[in-house]
Amino acid sequence: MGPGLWLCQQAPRCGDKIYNPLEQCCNDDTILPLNRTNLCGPNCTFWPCFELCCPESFDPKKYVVKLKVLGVKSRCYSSPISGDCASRKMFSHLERY
Amino acid sequence: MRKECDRGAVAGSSVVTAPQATDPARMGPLRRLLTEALLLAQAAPQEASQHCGRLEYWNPDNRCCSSCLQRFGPPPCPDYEFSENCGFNDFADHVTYPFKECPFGQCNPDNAELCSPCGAGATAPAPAGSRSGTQRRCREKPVPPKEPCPLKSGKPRVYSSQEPSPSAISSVSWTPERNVTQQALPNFALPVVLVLMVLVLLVTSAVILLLAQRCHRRAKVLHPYPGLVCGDTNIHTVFSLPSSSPGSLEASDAGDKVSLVPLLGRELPSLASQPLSRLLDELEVLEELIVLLDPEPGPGGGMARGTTRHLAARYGVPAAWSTFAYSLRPSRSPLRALIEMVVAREPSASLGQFGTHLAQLGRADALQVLSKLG
Repeated sequence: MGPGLWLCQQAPRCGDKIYNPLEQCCNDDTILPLNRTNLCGPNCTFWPCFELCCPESFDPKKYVVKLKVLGVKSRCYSSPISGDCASRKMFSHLERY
Repeated sequence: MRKECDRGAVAGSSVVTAPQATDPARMGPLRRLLTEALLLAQAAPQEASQHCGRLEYWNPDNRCCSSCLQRFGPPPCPDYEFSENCGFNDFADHVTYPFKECPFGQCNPDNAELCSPCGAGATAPAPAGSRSGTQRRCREKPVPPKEPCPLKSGKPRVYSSQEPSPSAISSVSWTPERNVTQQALPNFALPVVLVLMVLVLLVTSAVILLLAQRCHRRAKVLHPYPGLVCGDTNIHTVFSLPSSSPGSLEASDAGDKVSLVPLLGRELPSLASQPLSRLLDELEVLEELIVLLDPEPGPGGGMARGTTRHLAARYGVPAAWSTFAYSLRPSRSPLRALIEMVVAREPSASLGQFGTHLAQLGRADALQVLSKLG
């Protein structure tokens, strides 16, 4: 251990807990692993750490996944599209846990 | 009207099938109890949470019930209310939309959580809490502001890229089931908008081509290689790779130690001040940059040099995001995703800044492609 100064950096908080940003993210006051996926509609998956699940319309069959903009509070109406749900693979719920 | 059975089972939710009809007199007490429990479970909506009330959703990670209002804000449009559990199942999947139209005879002019009988004046009381009655509430959060309603005066409206939102590039059409006859309005307006956009693009492309031709002619006369200027010691070298000496303008034998002249500042001064979003419109240039910057050659990408991943780091994007962006390949380009995200985060980001990053990464080939925009 050298004699130099140790610089402390505040750990990021999620609600009332801290988390490791290299392995986790904070989504809706919930700490999630970076590789967590969820369903966006019946046939599409998305990564809640990096994407938003947004309704394209009120047609129950149309969903669009949008990119979260880092550093700002992302909203569906102002975020860029991440991809078309139809081209994504179906996610197996059993693999999640 | 919510579709349940005809959509099939939703992944993550338990599918309950009705037991075969049997003579109750033959069933033991245990079997009778099981049958009644199954019937009750089936009676509840398929998407309904087993833990939380109507206006809440189950958070499986924190194991608590979160408020729909605190998650989404109030319903954005009049005469809409929250869906059951705002569209979540108990695995945090989005199985349906957070909002739905008021049932017939009910209204919601004040953006309350639930609709109430039209003209009643008072909002219907929210349903009782969690079905189980024992689940705790998640931490309280402030209610976010109401989002803009994509509907205008109760009629559907088509969003286009000309909407005032700086980063909205998606096209959203909202055609509620009731307003079938009103679909003629957006259907008529959309082709007109598209034609206008095509005309504008054509004119812009023609102007850019003319300017590019002029610059190329001038570049050929002055410099044989627009990407590199050699031998001119009066040129101030702003950046160079760490291993090369300042002011060095020659490429090394290995080809990987290059000091690049700030093209954007000298050769293409007009490019430096142009917005980065322009790159999203110049599809041919963007495609070439994607071909150059996205690949990560070598086993595990270990031999990659100056790729989109490194470019993202220059923009201050965490490595985890780059890993996520690369996982979207081949359907989605990491470079395009990066540019869209940077533009959304910082609308004032410029092509000059982009070119500077490319030069710092030693990607003269990408800079040459970018110079086509000048």
